[in-house]
Amino acid sequence: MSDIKIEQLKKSYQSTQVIHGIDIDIRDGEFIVLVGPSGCGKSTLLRMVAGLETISEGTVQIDGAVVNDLEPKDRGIAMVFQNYALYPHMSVYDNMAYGLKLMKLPKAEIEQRVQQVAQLLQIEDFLDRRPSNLSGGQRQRVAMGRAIVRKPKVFLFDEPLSNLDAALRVQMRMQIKTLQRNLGVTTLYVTHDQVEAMTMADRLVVLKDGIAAQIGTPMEIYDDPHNQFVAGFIGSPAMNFIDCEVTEDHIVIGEQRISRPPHVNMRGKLVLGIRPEHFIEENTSALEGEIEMIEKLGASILLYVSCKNVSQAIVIQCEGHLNVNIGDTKNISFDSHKLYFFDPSTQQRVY
Amino acid sequence: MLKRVHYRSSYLPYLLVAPQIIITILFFIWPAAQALYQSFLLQDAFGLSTEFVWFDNFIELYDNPNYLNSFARTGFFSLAVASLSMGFALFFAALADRVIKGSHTYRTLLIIPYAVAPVLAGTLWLFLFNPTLGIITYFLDTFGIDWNHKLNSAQAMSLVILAAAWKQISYNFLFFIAAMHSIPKSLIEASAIDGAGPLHRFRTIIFPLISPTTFFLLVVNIIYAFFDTFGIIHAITAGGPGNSTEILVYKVYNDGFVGLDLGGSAAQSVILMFIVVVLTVVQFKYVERKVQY
Ligand SMILES: Nc1ncnc2c1ncn2[C@@H]1O[C@H](COP(=O)(O)OP(=O)(O)O)[C@@H](O)[C@H]1O
Ligand SMILES: [Mg+2]
Repeated sequence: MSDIKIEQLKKSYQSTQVIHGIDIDIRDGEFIVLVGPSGCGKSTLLRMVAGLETISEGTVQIDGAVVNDLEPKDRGIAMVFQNYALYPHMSVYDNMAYGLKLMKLPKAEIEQRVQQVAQLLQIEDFLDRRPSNLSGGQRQRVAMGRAIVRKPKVFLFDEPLSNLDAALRVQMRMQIKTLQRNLGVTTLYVTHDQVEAMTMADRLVVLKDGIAAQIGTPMEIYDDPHNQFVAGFIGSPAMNFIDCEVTEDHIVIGEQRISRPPHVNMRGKLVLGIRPEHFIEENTSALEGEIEMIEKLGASILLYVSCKNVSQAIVIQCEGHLNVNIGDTKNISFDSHKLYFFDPSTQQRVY
Repeated sequence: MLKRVHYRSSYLPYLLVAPQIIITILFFIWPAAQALYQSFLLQDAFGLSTEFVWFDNFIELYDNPNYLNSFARTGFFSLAVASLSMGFALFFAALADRVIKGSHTYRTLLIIPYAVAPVLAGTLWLFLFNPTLGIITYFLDTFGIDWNHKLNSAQAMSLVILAAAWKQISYNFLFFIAAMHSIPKSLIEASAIDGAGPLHRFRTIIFPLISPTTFFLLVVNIIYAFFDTFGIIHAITAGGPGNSTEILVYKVYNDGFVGLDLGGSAAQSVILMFIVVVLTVVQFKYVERKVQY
């Protein structure tokens, strides 16, 4: 059990810098998810903590000790790779025992540890099999098992579920979360899937182009995004961004205007952000638009509504049995307390 | 699934494969058939009389201690060449796999010997080990080793093995390095996290995973040592001293074109042909099975 402190961490490959100074304080036993679009530096950051990638600048501390110059094996970490990285020529048992043998543990203890973890993960029936004779989900569990038997201080996961089908992904996501909570091991988990991030994390680190755009609990980030990128990335379906101008009396959107809620005290050309789930069925201060497309999700229904002179269709989430057709005119009303405003030049949130 | 391409005209496919077929018939099938036919004949040295003797030539070989000795010698020679050149190639490949700077130069240099013709390779080593002029002979002399492969048969054997192995290192190196590159990097990283040092990692992860390539190369190297080393031996020792470096393929040449025993020589080449067929079948069987983990 241990805490991790990442300070001013930077990484450059030759002349290109890919991580631009990241600070994260991770408490003992916390489940931290690094989330961001592909290529933003998640894996690089994780691999620097693992010791698989050199650190250009800054420090990584585990348990209060700087580990920058330690070999991966001396950092007390265990890692689960996206492709699982199971040794294909060894049985499941040998895969799990490989690291323990290298720790020079007595044979009986290795046996006992492997059996115990295999039971925990329900893979005790496959111990003699080669990884190629296992299904994707079973391989995933073996990879987890290999990480767990080492009794590491820190778990590192690099997109461990992205090779699984959707149903299995949901199931494994819960298993990993439950397991981590029971074991209480500090965990860094990388994913590009914001649903996975929201559901699993104690705290999220939203990365963008090698910078931590925001760090916080899932609900903090959902309720209070610091900038347009975070607001758009977290939450599904994604937040609508609508160019608007806030004047003394109105908010002007395209060719229409709605009266300015008194608490919106900004003025000027801004980007209005509103989540699809925050529209309301009411006719006060409504915009009008035409339904362009309908997506039925069962429990809910997504309407794509285009308004005159607004560049993008506005996505509205409604109750599932709403009876509407393409081409209908739709009144759009907001919950005025759930509006976000962003500065169009800096993309920072201003309200 | 392979897609079949249908040509409308029926002669085009034949036309396309014709060059390959003609070359195969002219340079492989025809000589092989000739050899097979010859192996049943007994001809006097001047070619004046020829007699069909069935399997006499083969039976004679079976009773000929010279031939059986050559067989054993060839076995030793090919195993020595295969293990020496594969050993070095594996060693270099393992190092090259870890090199980051200048790896391109390093690899290029290692591949050059492959482009050297066998006779030239032989001559090169001949110069180095020339009993009176050779630079290596000179150094060996300072260590008190008297090198003369023209008189000493053990030394002669070592020299042809060395030269033959040297030439094959490049080829093996290429295959080994390709095999090592095809091992997913994450496996190596996982083993590093598990605490395996470079040597342990090589022994427990890399070596087992490249074993299909190792087997493939073993067969290729044995075939190489059996057949393609003719030029090297011809240039360095011409089979001597005595018969001490006369491997089977060299004996075919010696008995046939020097000794003019065409029937016996043809019988030997038929046996060699049989050996290479067996080796090739073994290899194909194995490759087809495709080692899957
Ligand atoms: N070995 C490397 N050399 C140069 N650039 C690299 C290397 N590895 C990764 N990068 C770059 O660093 C950035 C971050 O990569 P990565 O951490 O793998 O992204 P993510 O895991 O978030 O998709 C990418 O733009 C990638 O092109
Ligand atoms: Mg990645």
